[in-house]
Amino acid sequence: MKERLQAFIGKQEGFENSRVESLYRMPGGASKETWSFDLVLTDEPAREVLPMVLRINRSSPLPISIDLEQEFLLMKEVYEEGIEVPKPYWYGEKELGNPFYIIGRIEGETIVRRLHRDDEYETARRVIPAQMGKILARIHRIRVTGNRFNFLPHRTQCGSSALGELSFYETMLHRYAPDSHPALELGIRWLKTHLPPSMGQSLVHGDYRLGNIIFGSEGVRSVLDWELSHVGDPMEDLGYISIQAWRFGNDSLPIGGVGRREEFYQAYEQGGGFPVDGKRTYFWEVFGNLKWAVITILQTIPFLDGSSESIELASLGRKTSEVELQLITLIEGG
Amino acid sequence: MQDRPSALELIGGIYLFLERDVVPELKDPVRFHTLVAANLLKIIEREILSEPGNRLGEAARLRKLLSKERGSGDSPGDLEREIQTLNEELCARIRRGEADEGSRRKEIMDHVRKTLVEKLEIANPRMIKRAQERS
Repeated sequence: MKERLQAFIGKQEGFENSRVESLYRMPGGASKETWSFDLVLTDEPAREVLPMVLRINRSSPLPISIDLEQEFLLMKEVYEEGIEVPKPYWYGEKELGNPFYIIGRIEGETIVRRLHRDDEYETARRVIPAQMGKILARIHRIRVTGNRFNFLPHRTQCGSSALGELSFYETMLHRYAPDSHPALELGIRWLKTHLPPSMGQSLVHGDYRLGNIIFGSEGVRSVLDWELSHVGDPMEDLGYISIQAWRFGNDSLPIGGVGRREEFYQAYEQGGGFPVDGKRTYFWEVFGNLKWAVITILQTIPFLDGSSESIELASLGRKTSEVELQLITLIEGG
Repeated sequence: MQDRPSALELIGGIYLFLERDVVPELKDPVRFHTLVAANLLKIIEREILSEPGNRLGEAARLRKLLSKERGSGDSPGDLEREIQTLNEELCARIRRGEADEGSRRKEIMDHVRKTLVEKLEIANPRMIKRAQERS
């Protein structure tokens, strides 16, 4: 790996004299491996060291993900817009065997239970909800008109992004789920009969939540995991971040277990986001539960078909029912 | 019939071995994955105890809900297939709008909720109360 990575970077303009050091595989990553390394620029007197990350495809990605090249292109676009993402350097197709990209490494923490519990993150817990609201507003303000984001999915049906997204996840469920799921059918039926009127389109991150945020003691440092991004209804991100699964045990603060809804919505609106309407975000919170339930089913499939031996993926299959129970609780009243 | 220890007794023993002897020796990510695996053993333990009864109850509720006769076979495999078929039928009816409103909606919701609660008594009992709250 190191030699081939070294050879690839050595061909990049301005990096002919550089050396890969301290390469190691970081934990986690089901369909993608993440490697950390330092790039030492040997021709400079100061021997500048760039902290880097390599992400490379391993098993087949989730059928709902954009591919690695699209994700890389998107990160370049949002990086140029000043959004907090690691600096994208290069994308490669074959040089390392599988598609990969190389981005800057942002030091910090992603593990949510540390944010919830550790004393050193007391300030971070307080400021992160508003920070995440403001960053999300800036993501949604990026202009999506013209053909700039044509490489991203833009799922609409009868002019509705909500119906387009819903139909997509319904199809994924029926195509891939090994079992039938009455609770999810109830959810889909409720969503189809409670569709919000269409509103302005924006870039949607698609997986905007704690766990996909690098933070430090001062708060948010970087937004990761853009593989579910698409163009659609901005309220989708606001509903998704509110679901029970992303509270990691702390329901008293519905936004990631660290924030109240009102402070998050207010920061989002004040940061230039779209007007927040409770009915719309409720629709998208129900949808977020449906989406996460479908993802738990999809993530278990590599274990079921033998392409992955990950015990963590196996365990996700037994998470589906807790998401389903929350989902039917949210739609109970009809 | 096997001699003692029973499957349940073995699972209990393996769980304690993992928790007391193995996990303290490990570093992440293997430590984390071992905890996940130990938790799955607990799921299997509860499943051995409750799943046979749960399946009988789920099948009986589904037959009543969908007005179906009891399936012909008597083996565990027959029951499993019968539940799968009945659940597919229930899903199709929900898609057609049968659970959209009224007392029929309540009957179907009650059945689905009871089934999910029984599944969570095995998969994650701590979530039963939480997942039924809106916050």
